[in-house]
Amino acid sequence: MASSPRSLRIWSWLHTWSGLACTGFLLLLCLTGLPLIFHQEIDALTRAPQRTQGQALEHRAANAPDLDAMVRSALDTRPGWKPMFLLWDDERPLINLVIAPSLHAQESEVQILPFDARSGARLTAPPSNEGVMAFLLDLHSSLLLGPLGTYFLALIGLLFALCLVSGVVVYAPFMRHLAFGSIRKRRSARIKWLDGHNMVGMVTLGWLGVVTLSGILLTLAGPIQTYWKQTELADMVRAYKGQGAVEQPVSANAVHAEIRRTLPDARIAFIAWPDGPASTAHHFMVALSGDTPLTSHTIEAALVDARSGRLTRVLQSPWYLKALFLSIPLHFGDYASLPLKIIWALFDLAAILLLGTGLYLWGTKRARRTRRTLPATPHARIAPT
Amino acid sequence: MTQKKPAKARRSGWQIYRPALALGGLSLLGLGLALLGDGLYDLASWVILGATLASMPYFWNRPS
Repeated sequence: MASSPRSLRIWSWLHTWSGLACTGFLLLLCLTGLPLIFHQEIDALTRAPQRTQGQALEHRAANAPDLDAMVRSALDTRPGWKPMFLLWDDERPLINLVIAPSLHAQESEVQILPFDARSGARLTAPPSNEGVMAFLLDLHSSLLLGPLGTYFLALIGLLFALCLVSGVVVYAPFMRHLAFGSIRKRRSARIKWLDGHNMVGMVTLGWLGVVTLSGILLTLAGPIQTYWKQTELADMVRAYKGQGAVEQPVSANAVHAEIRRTLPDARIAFIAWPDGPASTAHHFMVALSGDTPLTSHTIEAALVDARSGRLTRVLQSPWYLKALFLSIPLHFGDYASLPLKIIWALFDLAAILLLGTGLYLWGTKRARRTRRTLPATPHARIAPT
Repeated sequence: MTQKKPAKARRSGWQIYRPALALGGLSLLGLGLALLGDGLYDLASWVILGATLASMPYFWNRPS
C-alpha cells in the first residue's frame, strides 16, 4: 500500500481533500437519505388511506382495469398532454399513470396520477411526485438542480470513492502497533476520535462502498438508458427506417392484451409509450419483472409494435442495465422489510459520525498547525505557566 | 538502571487488514443475502448486518 513516506503523504493528502470536498454534500445526502429509507412507512402515514389498503396485485395480465379509460380520464383534465408510462406499484394495488406536456418533458413537468389497480378508479391521494418525500428525493438525487445536479452528485460520489480508497491506504500506518478497533481513550480527545474515525470507517466500509457505487450508478441512469437505446434497440429501429412517426398508436388495453396472450405469466412493471425515454419511436416498451426475489428487481423489455399491436421481441437486460436496476434496492435499503431499513438507518447514522469525526480531525489538525506557526505574542510570553 | 518498555509488535499488512476484510465481506454477504431470497435469507441478512453494526459499540466500549 503506502510503502514510502512520500506516497503516504500523497495518499493522506488525497484522503483529506477528497473527503473535505464532499463532506458537506454527503452530510446532506445522509440526512435526506434517512427519511427516504422509510418512504413507504411515511407514505402510509401521511397519504390518503386508499393508497395503502389491500395487497399488491400479482401484476398478471388477468383482472386488469380499463387502462384506456384511465388514460382518457387523465387527459380530459389536461388537453394536449401525452401519456408516458403506466407503472404498477410493487406493494399496493395501485397503477400510476405518468402524463406530460410532451413525450420528452423534463421530470419536473410530469404529473403522476394514482389509480386503483382493481377498479381503475382515480384515487384522490396526492401524486407521488409532490409533497415532502418527493422534495427530499429530488434534493437527494439532484440537489433540486435537475440533470446537472445529478451529474454533480456523480462527481461527489467519485470523490467519496477516492476518499474511501485512500482511507484504506492511510489506515495501515496508524494501526501498525494497535489491535483492530482499538480506541485509546486515555490519550487526547484528538487521538480518541482518530481511533473512532478509523474504527467506524473500517466497520462500515463494505456498506459505504455498496451505497456509494450504487449511488454513482443511479446518477448515471440517464446516460445508461440512452446507451441501451442506442445499442440494444438500434437493430429494431433500423427495421423501421423510412417510416414516419406513429400517429395513432394502438391502445394501452391492446398492448396489455397482447402481453396477456403471448406471455400469460409475465409480471408487468410498467408500460412505456412509443417515442418516450424508455422506448423506440415505433414500439411500446413493456417492462417485465421476474418472479424471484433477485429478478423482481430487474426487468426484461417486451417490445410491442405501436401500429400492429403485436409483440416484436423480448430483450434480456444487458449487465449494465441489471447493475442499474439492482442499484436501486442496494442504495435505499428497502428490499428486506423493516429490520433492514432500521439497520440501514443505523449505518447511515454511522456514516454521519464518520463524516463528523473527519471534519473534527481536520479542524483540530489545522488549529494545531496554526498555533505552531503563530509567533509568540508578548502577551503569551508573560503569561503565567 | 531504568526498565525498558517492551516494544510493541509491528503488525503486517495482512494482520492489519484481515479484520476489516472480514467485516467488509460480512457486510457484502448480508446485503447480498437479502437480495437473493426472502424469509430465512432476510433473517440471515438482518443478523449479519446487525452483528456488523453491533461491533462498533463493542469496539468503542472495549477497555483500551
